[in-house]
Amino acid sequence: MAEAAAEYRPDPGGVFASDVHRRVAAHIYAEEEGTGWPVLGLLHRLAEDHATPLPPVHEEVGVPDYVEGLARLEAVLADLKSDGVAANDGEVWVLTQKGLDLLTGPIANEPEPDAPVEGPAMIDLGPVPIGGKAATAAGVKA
Amino acid sequence: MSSLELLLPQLFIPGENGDGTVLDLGRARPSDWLREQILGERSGVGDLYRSLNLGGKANYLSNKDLDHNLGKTSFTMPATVAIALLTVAATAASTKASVTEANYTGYARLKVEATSLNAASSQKSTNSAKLEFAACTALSSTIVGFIIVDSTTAGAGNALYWGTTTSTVISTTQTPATIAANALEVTES
Repeated sequence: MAEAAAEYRPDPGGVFASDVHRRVAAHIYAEEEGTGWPVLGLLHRLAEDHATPLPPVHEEVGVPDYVEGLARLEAVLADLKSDGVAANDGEVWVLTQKGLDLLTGPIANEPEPDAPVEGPAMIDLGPVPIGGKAATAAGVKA
Repeated sequence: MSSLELLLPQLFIPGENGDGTVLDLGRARPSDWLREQILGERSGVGDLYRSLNLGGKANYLSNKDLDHNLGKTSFTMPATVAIALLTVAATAASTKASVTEANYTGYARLKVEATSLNAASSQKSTNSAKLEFAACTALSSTIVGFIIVDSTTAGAGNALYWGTTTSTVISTTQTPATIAANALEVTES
Protein backbone atom coordinates (compact mmCIF):
# COMPACT_ATOMS: atom_id res chain seq x y z
CA MET A 1 0.00 0.00 0.00
CA ALA A 2 0.96 3.62 -0.50
CA GLU A 3 3.61 2.68 -3.02
CA ALA A 4 3.51 6.12 -4.60
CA ALA A 5 4.28 7.97 -1.38
CA ALA A 6 8.06 7.78 -1.35
CA GLU A 7 8.61 10.58 -3.85
CA TYR A 8 6.46 13.14 -2.09
CA ARG A 9 6.87 15.14 1.08
CA PRO A 10 5.32 13.58 4.18
CA ASP A 11 1.79 14.41 5.19
CA PRO A 12 2.13 17.20 7.77
CA GLY A 13 -0.75 15.67 9.66
CA GLY A 14 0.92 12.27 9.73
CA VAL A 15 -2.27 10.51 8.69
CA PHE A 16 -1.94 10.02 4.94
CA ALA A 17 0.85 8.27 3.08
CA SER A 18 2.11 11.65 1.83
CA ASP A 19 1.00 15.24 1.50
CA VAL A 20 0.04 14.55 -2.10
CA HIS A 21 -2.19 11.70 -0.95
CA ARG A 22 -3.92 14.12 1.45
CA ARG A 23 -4.34 16.77 -1.19
CA VAL A 24 -5.67 14.42 -3.84
CA ALA A 25 -8.18 13.11 -1.32
CA ALA A 26 -9.09 16.67 -0.34
CA HIS A 27 -10.02 17.49 -3.93
CA ILE A 28 -12.36 14.55 -4.41
CA TYR A 29 -16.05 15.01 -3.75
CA ALA A 30 -17.55 13.07 -0.87
CA GLU A 31 -19.78 10.19 -1.86
CA GLU A 32 -22.85 11.88 -0.41
CA GLU A 33 -22.49 14.83 -2.76
CA GLY A 34 -23.52 12.66 -5.70
CA THR A 35 -20.71 14.01 -7.84
CA GLY A 36 -17.30 12.63 -8.65
CA TRP A 37 -14.21 13.30 -10.69
CA PRO A 38 -13.15 11.42 -13.80
CA VAL A 39 -9.42 10.96 -13.52
CA LEU A 40 -8.54 13.41 -16.30
CA GLY A 41 -10.78 16.07 -14.84
CA LEU A 42 -9.14 15.62 -11.49
CA LEU A 43 -5.71 15.84 -13.10
CA HIS A 44 -6.64 19.12 -14.75
CA ARG A 45 -7.85 20.54 -11.45
CA LEU A 46 -4.74 19.43 -9.59
CA ALA A 47 -2.54 21.01 -12.26
CA GLU A 48 -3.72 24.41 -11.06
CA ASP A 49 -3.15 23.74 -7.37
CA HIS A 50 0.18 25.32 -6.51
CA ALA A 51 0.62 23.06 -3.50
CA THR A 52 0.05 19.76 -5.29
CA PRO A 53 2.86 18.68 -7.66
CA LEU A 54 0.54 16.72 -9.93
CA PRO A 55 1.18 16.80 -12.77
CA PRO A 56 4.85 17.81 -12.64
CA VAL A 57 5.89 20.79 -14.74
CA HIS A 58 8.02 19.73 -17.68
CA GLU A 59 11.43 21.21 -17.00
CA GLU A 60 12.31 22.00 -20.61
CA VAL A 61 9.11 23.45 -21.97
CA GLY A 62 7.52 24.67 -18.75
CA VAL A 63 4.10 23.14 -19.22
CA PRO A 64 2.45 20.33 -17.29
CA ASP A 65 3.62 16.84 -18.13
CA TYR A 66 0.19 15.27 -18.26
CA VAL A 67 1.49 11.85 -19.30
CA GLU A 68 3.70 11.56 -16.23
CA GLY A 69 1.07 13.33 -14.18
CA LEU A 70 -1.60 10.84 -15.13
CA ALA A 71 0.61 7.93 -14.17
CA ARG A 72 1.40 9.54 -10.82
CA LEU A 73 -2.22 10.40 -10.13
CA GLU A 74 -3.39 6.89 -10.94
CA ALA A 75 -0.77 5.51 -8.55
CA VAL A 76 -1.92 7.83 -5.77
CA LEU A 77 -5.56 7.00 -6.42
CA ALA A 78 -4.72 3.31 -6.30
CA ASP A 79 -3.13 3.86 -2.89
CA LEU A 80 -6.16 5.80 -1.67
CA LYS A 81 -8.48 3.07 -2.91
CA SER A 82 -6.37 0.40 -1.27
CA ASP A 83 -6.54 2.29 2.00
CA GLY A 84 -10.31 2.71 1.73
CA VAL A 85 -10.02 6.48 1.39
CA ALA A 86 -11.36 6.77 -2.15
CA ALA A 87 -13.56 4.63 -4.35
CA ASN A 88 -14.32 4.51 -8.01
CA ASP A 89 -17.12 3.03 -10.04
CA GLY A 90 -15.11 2.77 -13.21
CA GLU A 91 -15.94 6.30 -14.29
CA VAL A 92 -15.50 8.73 -11.43
CA TRP A 93 -13.66 8.90 -8.11
CA VAL A 94 -15.35 9.78 -4.85
CA LEU A 95 -14.18 10.23 -1.27
CA THR A 96 -15.34 7.58 1.19
CA GLN A 97 -16.56 8.31 4.70
CA LYS A 98 -13.23 7.02 5.99
CA GLY A 99 -11.45 9.49 3.75
CA LEU A 100 -13.59 12.35 4.98
CA ASP A 101 -12.97 11.31 8.58
CA LEU A 102 -9.21 11.32 8.03
CA LEU A 103 -9.26 14.72 6.34
CA THR A 104 -11.31 16.29 9.08
CA GLY A 105 -9.77 14.42 11.99
CA PRO A 106 -6.84 15.35 14.22
CA ILE A 107 -3.19 14.94 13.33
CA ALA A 108 -1.51 11.65 14.19
CA ASN A 109 0.55 12.93 17.08
CA GLU A 110 -1.14 15.76 18.87
CA PRO A 111 1.00 17.77 21.29
CA GLU A 112 0.80 17.14 25.00
CA PRO A 113 -1.72 19.45 26.70
CA ASP A 114 1.03 21.39 28.48
CA ALA A 115 3.37 21.68 25.50
CA PRO A 116 4.42 25.28 24.90
CA VAL A 117 3.35 27.16 21.81
CA GLU A 118 6.09 27.01 19.21
CA GLY A 119 4.71 29.78 17.02
CA PRO A 120 1.91 30.74 14.70
CA ALA A 121 0.69 28.45 11.95
CA MET A 122 1.50 30.61 8.94
CA ILE A 123 -0.89 29.88 6.10
CA ASP A 124 0.63 29.91 2.63
CA LEU A 125 -2.04 31.01 0.20
CA GLY A 126 0.14 30.49 -2.83
CA PRO A 127 2.23 32.64 -5.13
CA VAL A 128 -0.53 34.51 -6.90
CA PRO A 129 -3.95 35.97 -6.22
CA ILE A 130 -7.27 34.27 -6.42
CA GLY A 131 -9.63 35.99 -8.73
CA GLY A 132 -12.57 36.01 -11.04
CA LYS A 133 -10.97 33.81 -13.66
CA ALA A 134 -12.78 30.88 -15.15
CA ALA A 135 -13.34 28.08 -12.70
CA THR A 136 -11.91 24.69 -13.43
CA ALA A 137 -14.12 21.99 -14.78
CA ALA A 138 -16.74 20.59 -12.47
CA GLY A 139 -17.10 16.96 -11.65
CA VAL A 140 -19.71 14.77 -13.24
CA LYS A 141 -22.57 12.92 -11.72
CA ALA A 142 -21.55 9.70 -10.09
CA MET B 1 10.23 33.85 -29.14
CA SER B 2 7.03 34.37 -31.00
CA SER B 3 5.40 30.95 -30.95
CA LEU B 4 2.27 30.16 -28.98
CA GLU B 5 1.98 27.26 -26.59
CA LEU B 6 -1.43 25.90 -25.75
CA LEU B 7 -1.91 25.76 -22.00
CA LEU B 8 -5.54 24.93 -21.52
CA PRO B 9 -7.55 26.83 -20.60
CA GLN B 10 -4.96 29.54 -21.21
CA LEU B 11 -2.72 30.56 -24.05
CA PHE B 12 0.83 31.12 -22.86
CA ILE B 13 3.07 33.46 -24.85
CA PRO B 14 6.69 33.03 -23.71
CA GLY B 15 8.84 36.09 -23.19
CA GLU B 16 12.55 36.50 -23.64
CA ASN B 17 13.57 36.19 -20.02
CA GLY B 18 11.47 33.29 -18.89
CA ASP B 19 8.49 35.48 -18.20
CA GLY B 20 5.49 35.70 -20.45
CA THR B 21 1.87 36.44 -20.93
CA VAL B 22 -1.13 34.27 -20.18
CA LEU B 23 -4.39 34.81 -22.01
CA ASP B 24 -7.32 33.11 -20.34
CA LEU B 25 -9.67 31.69 -22.95
CA GLY B 26 -11.92 29.96 -20.50
CA ARG B 27 -15.09 31.97 -21.16
CA ALA B 28 -16.42 35.18 -22.58
CA ARG B 29 -15.38 38.31 -20.73
CA PRO B 30 -15.87 42.05 -21.06
CA SER B 31 -14.34 43.41 -24.22
CA ASP B 32 -11.32 44.89 -22.48
CA TRP B 33 -10.60 41.75 -20.54
CA LEU B 34 -8.71 39.83 -23.19
CA ARG B 35 -5.50 41.72 -22.70
CA GLU B 36 -2.03 40.84 -21.75
CA GLN B 37 -1.66 39.75 -18.16
CA ILE B 38 1.96 39.96 -17.26
CA LEU B 39 2.41 37.91 -14.12
CA GLY B 40 5.75 39.36 -13.12
CA GLU B 41 9.32 38.23 -13.44
CA ARG B 42 9.93 34.57 -12.78
CA SER B 43 12.98 32.41 -12.82
CA GLY B 44 11.55 30.16 -15.49
CA VAL B 45 8.44 29.28 -17.35
CA GLY B 46 7.83 26.38 -15.00
CA ASP B 47 7.55 28.85 -12.16
CA LEU B 48 5.24 30.94 -14.26
CA TYR B 49 2.97 27.99 -14.88
CA ARG B 50 2.85 27.22 -11.20
CA SER B 51 1.70 30.77 -10.62
CA LEU B 52 -1.66 29.81 -12.05
CA ASN B 53 -3.45 29.31 -8.79
CA LEU B 54 -6.41 27.11 -8.10
CA GLY B 55 -9.16 29.31 -6.79
CA GLY B 56 -11.42 32.09 -7.81
CA LYS B 57 -14.78 33.68 -7.45
CA ALA B 58 -17.64 31.59 -6.13
CA ASN B 59 -20.61 31.04 -8.39
CA TYR B 60 -22.83 32.91 -5.94
CA LEU B 61 -20.82 36.09 -6.29
CA SER B 62 -20.36 35.69 -10.04
CA ASN B 63 -24.11 35.66 -10.51
CA LYS B 64 -24.63 38.60 -8.17
CA ASP B 65 -21.94 40.60 -9.96
CA LEU B 66 -23.41 39.88 -13.37
CA ASP B 67 -26.92 40.89 -12.33
CA HIS B 68 -25.64 44.02 -10.62
CA ASN B 69 -23.25 45.14 -13.34
CA LEU B 70 -25.76 44.57 -16.11
CA GLY B 71 -28.54 46.44 -14.33
CA LYS B 72 -30.68 43.42 -13.64
CA THR B 73 -30.68 43.29 -9.84
CA SER B 74 -28.78 45.41 -7.36
CA PHE B 75 -26.26 43.62 -5.16
CA THR B 76 -25.79 45.01 -1.67
CA MET B 77 -22.28 45.09 -0.28
CA PRO B 78 -21.80 42.34 2.32
CA ALA B 79 -22.11 43.66 5.86
CA THR B 80 -19.61 41.07 7.00
CA VAL B 81 -16.66 39.48 5.25
CA ALA B 82 -14.88 36.57 6.90
CA ILE B 83 -12.39 33.84 6.08
CA ALA B 84 -13.08 30.18 6.79
CA LEU B 85 -10.32 27.56 6.90
CA LEU B 86 -11.08 24.27 5.18
CA THR B 87 -9.86 20.71 5.56
CA VAL B 88 -11.43 19.71 2.23
CA ALA B 89 -10.79 21.82 -0.87
CA ALA B 90 -13.62 24.02 -2.08
CA THR B 91 -14.84 24.65 -5.61
CA ALA B 92 -16.57 27.55 -7.32
CA ALA B 93 -19.84 25.78 -6.62
CA SER B 94 -19.18 25.46 -2.88
CA THR B 95 -21.89 26.70 -0.58
CA LYS B 96 -22.28 27.11 3.14
CA ALA B 97 -23.59 23.57 3.26
CA SER B 98 -20.86 21.92 1.26
CA VAL B 99 -17.62 23.25 2.73
CA THR B 100 -15.80 21.40 5.47
CA GLU B 101 -14.25 23.77 7.98
CA ALA B 102 -11.48 23.22 10.51
CA ASN B 103 -12.77 21.78 13.77
CA TYR B 104 -10.01 22.29 16.34
CA THR B 105 -11.10 23.73 19.64
CA GLY B 106 -11.12 27.49 19.39
CA TYR B 107 -11.67 27.56 15.64
CA ALA B 108 -13.90 30.33 14.34
CA ARG B 109 -14.15 32.15 11.08
CA LEU B 110 -12.13 35.33 11.11
CA LYS B 111 -13.95 38.56 10.36
CA VAL B 112 -11.97 40.66 7.94
CA GLU B 113 -12.34 44.28 8.93
CA ALA B 114 -12.43 46.83 6.13
CA THR B 115 -9.51 48.54 7.80
CA SER B 116 -7.49 45.36 7.25
CA LEU B 117 -7.78 45.71 3.49
CA ASN B 118 -5.99 48.01 1.12
CA ALA B 119 -8.22 49.84 -1.32
CA ALA B 120 -8.39 47.93 -4.57
CA SER B 121 -5.91 49.07 -7.18
CA SER B 122 -4.95 47.64 -10.56
CA GLN B 123 -7.82 45.18 -10.22
CA LYS B 124 -6.30 43.80 -7.02
CA SER B 125 -7.21 43.87 -3.34
CA THR B 126 -4.83 42.77 -0.58
CA ASN B 127 -4.82 42.58 3.20
CA SER B 128 -2.87 45.44 4.71
CA ALA B 129 -2.43 43.75 8.08
CA LYS B 130 -1.88 40.19 9.17
CA LEU B 131 -5.02 38.17 9.69
CA GLU B 132 -4.91 36.18 12.89
CA PHE B 133 -7.45 33.54 13.84
CA ALA B 134 -8.39 32.57 17.37
CA ALA B 135 -5.91 30.31 19.11
CA CYS B 136 -6.19 26.53 19.03
CA THR B 137 -6.65 25.36 22.60
CA ALA B 138 -7.18 21.63 21.96
CA LEU B 139 -7.29 19.10 19.13
CA SER B 140 -5.90 19.94 15.69
CA SER B 141 -6.72 20.34 12.00
CA THR B 142 -4.76 20.19 8.77
CA ILE B 143 -6.10 22.80 6.41
CA VAL B 144 -5.79 22.71 2.63
CA GLY B 145 -8.00 25.58 1.56
CA PHE B 146 -10.15 28.53 2.46
CA ILE B 147 -13.20 30.49 1.43
CA ILE B 148 -14.06 34.12 1.85
CA VAL B 149 -17.63 34.26 3.02
CA ASP B 150 -20.23 36.84 4.07
CA SER B 151 -20.86 35.46 7.55
CA THR B 152 -18.78 34.76 10.62
CA THR B 153 -21.03 31.89 11.62
CA ALA B 154 -19.78 28.45 10.64
CA GLY B 155 -22.20 26.78 8.26
CA ALA B 156 -23.87 30.05 7.36
CA GLY B 157 -23.54 32.73 4.70
CA ASN B 158 -22.52 32.68 1.07
CA ALA B 159 -19.13 31.83 -0.38
CA LEU B 160 -17.57 34.80 -2.20
CA TYR B 161 -14.11 33.53 -3.17
CA TRP B 162 -12.28 30.27 -2.66
CA GLY B 163 -8.75 28.97 -2.90
CA THR B 164 -6.23 26.39 -1.77
CA THR B 165 -3.39 26.68 0.69
CA THR B 166 -0.31 24.67 1.40
CA SER B 167 -1.24 21.87 3.81
CA THR B 168 -0.90 23.47 7.22
CA VAL B 169 -1.28 21.90 10.65
CA ILE B 170 -2.96 23.99 13.32
CA SER B 171 -2.49 22.59 16.82
CA THR B 172 -1.96 23.78 20.36
CA THR B 173 1.73 24.27 19.62
CA GLN B 174 1.32 25.68 16.12
CA THR B 175 -1.13 28.46 16.71
CA PRO B 176 -2.74 30.83 15.97
CA ALA B 177 -3.47 30.33 12.29
CA THR B 178 -2.11 33.44 10.64
CA ILE B 179 -2.17 34.96 7.17
CA ALA B 180 0.67 37.41 6.69
CA ALA B 181 0.05 40.96 5.52
CA ASN B 182 -0.34 41.16 1.73
CA ALA B 183 -0.50 37.37 1.44
CA LEU B 184 -4.14 37.42 0.50
CA GLU B 185 -4.66 38.84 -2.96
CA VAL B 186 -7.99 38.91 -4.70
CA THR B 187 -8.19 40.10 -8.28
CA GLU B 188 -10.73 41.00 -10.92
CA SER B 189 -9.27 40.69 -14.35
